[in-house]
Amino acid sequence: MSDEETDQAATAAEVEVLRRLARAALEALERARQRIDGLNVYPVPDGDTGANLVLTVRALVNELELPLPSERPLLHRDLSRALLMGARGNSGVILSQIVRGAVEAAPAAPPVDARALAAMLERAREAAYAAVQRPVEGTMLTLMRELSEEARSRRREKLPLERLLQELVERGDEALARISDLLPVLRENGVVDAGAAGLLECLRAIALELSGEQNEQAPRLRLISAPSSG
Amino acid sequence: MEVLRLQETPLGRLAISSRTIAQIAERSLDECYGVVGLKAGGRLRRALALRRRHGVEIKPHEQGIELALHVVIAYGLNLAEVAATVRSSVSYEVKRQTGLEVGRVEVLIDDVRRRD
Repeated sequence: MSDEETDQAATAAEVEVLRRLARAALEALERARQRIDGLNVYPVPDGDTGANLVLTVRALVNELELPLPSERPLLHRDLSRALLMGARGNSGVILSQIVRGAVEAAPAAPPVDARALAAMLERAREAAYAAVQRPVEGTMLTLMRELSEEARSRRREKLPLERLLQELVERGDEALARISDLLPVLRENGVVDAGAAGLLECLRAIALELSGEQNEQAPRLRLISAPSSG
Repeated sequence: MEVLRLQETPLGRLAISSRTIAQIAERSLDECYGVVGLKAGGRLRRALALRRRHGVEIKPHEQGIELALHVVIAYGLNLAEVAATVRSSVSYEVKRQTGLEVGRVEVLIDDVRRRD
């Protein structure tokens, strides 16, 4: 019985953290939306990747505003389902797979440490690659692989979670231009992959939020008006 | 060879076979996120649909072509969104590579499959 109580209390705190992280990711995507739209040349140059990622993450944020089950497996199921239903566009579908994979590998009890994050990213990479016959390299998929490799190679360093996330963002920044060379249509247009750029912005926002460094230029109030802004 | 004529030029006719178009569509489908297989359908349908190669059916349509794509999607994805991406990606690739106008694109989800 006392076990169950601990479990529930942990989940309430966890949901609050998830809420903060999801909002931070949404806010970052809203800021980067136009830039990401402008990068979108693959698979179809229709300039909607930024908008699609915003809609997808907004579905997750909206779900987190609702009363949620406190039992962790049910919570994970509800969040995955919200992202599945809310996924928009190619990038949104891939993001929903990434998050579903990560959530599946989330530890049964907090805290999420560097080792747990590495396992989550590994599972996220597997889930992302599992849903396509011929994975196209240079895209979100490749960035996901780079991130999971980085986390895996550093999982024994006992880095604090915030520190590992910062390292992952650095690896992502370094990787983004390099991997975009793998896809001719990106190289010809002199752009990086829009979906990968969006994924990296989400990760950066999460790293910043967890490390408590608030981006001074970003007015926090925008969070509250976000759901009605389109 | 079944030919879908593209244009007459003073130097001669440029023709693209339906087989070529099917290959372009298939290759594009292979790269579509969420598509884990193509479905040929039942034996009867296969026998009746002469223009069909694997998961792709092609029909002439006014100035261009119509496509029907039979796909297997990964379990647990948003099917409507995957179908929308399949439609726009394949139609964009076929048009980009052949110059043919792609009218209707039917996406038929024949199955869902767990792959992991």
